[in-house]
Amino acid sequence: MGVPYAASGAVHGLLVGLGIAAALGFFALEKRRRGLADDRLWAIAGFALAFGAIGARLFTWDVARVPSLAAWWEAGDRSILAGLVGAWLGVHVGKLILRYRPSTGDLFAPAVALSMAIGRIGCLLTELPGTPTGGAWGLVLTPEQAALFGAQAGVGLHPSFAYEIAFHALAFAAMLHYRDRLARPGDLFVLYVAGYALFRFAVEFVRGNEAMWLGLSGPQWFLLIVLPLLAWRVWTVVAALRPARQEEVAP
Amino acid sequence: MSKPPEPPPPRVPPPPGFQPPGPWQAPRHWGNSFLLGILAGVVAIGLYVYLTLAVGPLLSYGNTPLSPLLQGVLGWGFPLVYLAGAIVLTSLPATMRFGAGLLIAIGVSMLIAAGVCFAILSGFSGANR
Repeated sequence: MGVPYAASGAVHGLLVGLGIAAALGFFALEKRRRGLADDRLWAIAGFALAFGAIGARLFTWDVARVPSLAAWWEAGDRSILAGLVGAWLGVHVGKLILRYRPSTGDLFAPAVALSMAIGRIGCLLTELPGTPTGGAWGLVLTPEQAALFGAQAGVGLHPSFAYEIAFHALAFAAMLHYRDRLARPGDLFVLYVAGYALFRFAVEFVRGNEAMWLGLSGPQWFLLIVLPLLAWRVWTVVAALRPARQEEVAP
Repeated sequence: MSKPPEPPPPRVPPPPGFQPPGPWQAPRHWGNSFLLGILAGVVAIGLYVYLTLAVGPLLSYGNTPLSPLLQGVLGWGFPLVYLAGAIVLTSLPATMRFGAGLLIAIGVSMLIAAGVCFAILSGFSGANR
C-alpha cells in the first residue's frame, strides 16, 4: 500500500479543506459555548484563514531555488509552520484593524489542533512518509511510489504524519478537558503551540526533510529560534497557575 | 498597629434607562451577510481559477502587447485586489460580515476546488484506490 495517493494534490487539498471546515465548525461551537456573540470574531477567523493560506506559501519562498515569486506562488512548497505564522499574523492584523482587544488564542487553539489532525491525513496519503524505521511498523513504498519521491522501495519508513496526527488528536482531547482550568486567557494557545514546537522539532529527525545546516532541517532551525520566546511564555503560564492553585487550596 | 481597611466607596447607581454595553454586532442588512460573502468569494475565486486555466496557456503561447498585462492581472492583480478589497470591507462596520465571508471563502474555495479535482480524477481513472 505505502502511500496510496502519492503526490496527489487533489487528495491533499481535499483533506486540508476538510480540516479547515472542521476548524470553522468547532470555532462556531466554542464561540457559542463561551457566550461570545461579537461579530468581529468571525472576521478575525477570516483573517487567520486568509493570511495562513498566503503565509504557508510565501514564507517558504526559496529565492536561491526559484527567483521568481510568481513561479513560486504557482508551484512552490507549502509549510504548516509557515501557515501557522501567517495565521498568527493574520489574527493580530485583524484585531488591530477591528480594534478587538481580548485574547482570542484559547478560541482558536483546539480548532487549529482539529484541523491539523485532519489535514495531516492528506499528507499521510500523499507525501513521502519519513526516514527508514529499522522496525516492522514502517510504511513500505512500491517501486513506482519510491521513484516518484526519490526514496527507497521495499523498506519500512517512519509514518511521521501518523505520529503528528496522534499528537494533534491527543492535544485536541487534552484542550477540551483543560480549556476552562487555566489561569489566564490565551494560556491554552501558548501551551499548545509550545507543545507542538517541541514535538515537531523531535519528529523532524524522522521526517526525511532535507538538512539545512549542521544536520538540522529548516523547520528545526526556525523552531530553535522561537524556542526561547516559547519557553518564556510557558514559564509565565506556569507561574500564573501557582497563585490560582494556592487560592483553591486556601479555605 | 495598622489602620483598619477603609470601606469601599459607595456604588453610584446607574442612571435610569442605562443598559450595559453588549457584544459588538455588525449592522444586519441583506448585503452584509457572511453567507453572501462566502458565496461571492467562492464564485470570484472559481472564475479566477477557470480564467487562469483557460486563458493562461493561450497567453504563454501568444506574444501580443497585451500579454504581459493580462498575465499580470491573472497572476497578481486579482489575488491582491481580492485580498485588499476583503480587508477593507471587513474593516468597515457596514460591510464587515460580507468582508469576513470573502476572507473565509479563501479556505472554502480550497475545499471545493480540491473536491472537484478529486471527483474528476476519480471519474477519469475509474479507480477505487
